[in-house]
Amino acid sequence: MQTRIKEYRSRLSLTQEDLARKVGVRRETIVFLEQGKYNPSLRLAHDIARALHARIDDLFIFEVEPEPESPEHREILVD
Amino acid sequence: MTRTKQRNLYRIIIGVLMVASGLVSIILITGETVIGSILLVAGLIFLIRGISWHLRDGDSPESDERSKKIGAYGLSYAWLTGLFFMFGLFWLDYLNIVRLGTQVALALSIMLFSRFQPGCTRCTCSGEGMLNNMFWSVYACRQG
Repeated sequence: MQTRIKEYRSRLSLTQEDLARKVGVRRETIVFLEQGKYNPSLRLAHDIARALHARIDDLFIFEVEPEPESPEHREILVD
Repeated sequence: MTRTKQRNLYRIIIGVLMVASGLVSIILITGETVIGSILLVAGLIFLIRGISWHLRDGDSPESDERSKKIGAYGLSYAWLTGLFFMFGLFWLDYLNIVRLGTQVALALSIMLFSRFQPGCTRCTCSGEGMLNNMFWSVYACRQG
């Protein structure tokens, strides 16, 4: 998982401590989140997105391998 | 005042009260120092914990979802540590490598469960750590 928390936080000139206080977690949690080493709960992701005036999927980027298309799936897409 | 600050303040107050009552009991009750020593040690632990955590954490919460997850993960394996320890103690005793009395075996188990369990992420100053320190202070006093 990659995150763009640091980028959005810098735009708002917030320190890690400021963001941690805003969302009610310890500073270490923000550090781990920025390094992509911690998967937050949906609630925390939502709170961070709100604090940074962003959307959750702008902040958290999951690398998902594309699924091979099945014939049924292709049919649905064509319809 | 935040909840964290308030909790640290309570710890400091309890610590001061325990240290004071420990000193008073040592001075006033001649010949009997066990109770006074226990109060003194426990009070000092409360005091040190309250002050050091206040300086370290300030306004930030003591725990959050990440630390709770780590704690829960550790606790789920705590029983395994205990099992391995008991297993080791049994075989050490059975093979006459170490001669353990019941008292020593129980004391070692208390020490393990109260301090060195993986679920105890902040061992030295946690509730378990306090229990452990109180236990050892009583044990040391009893041994003279």
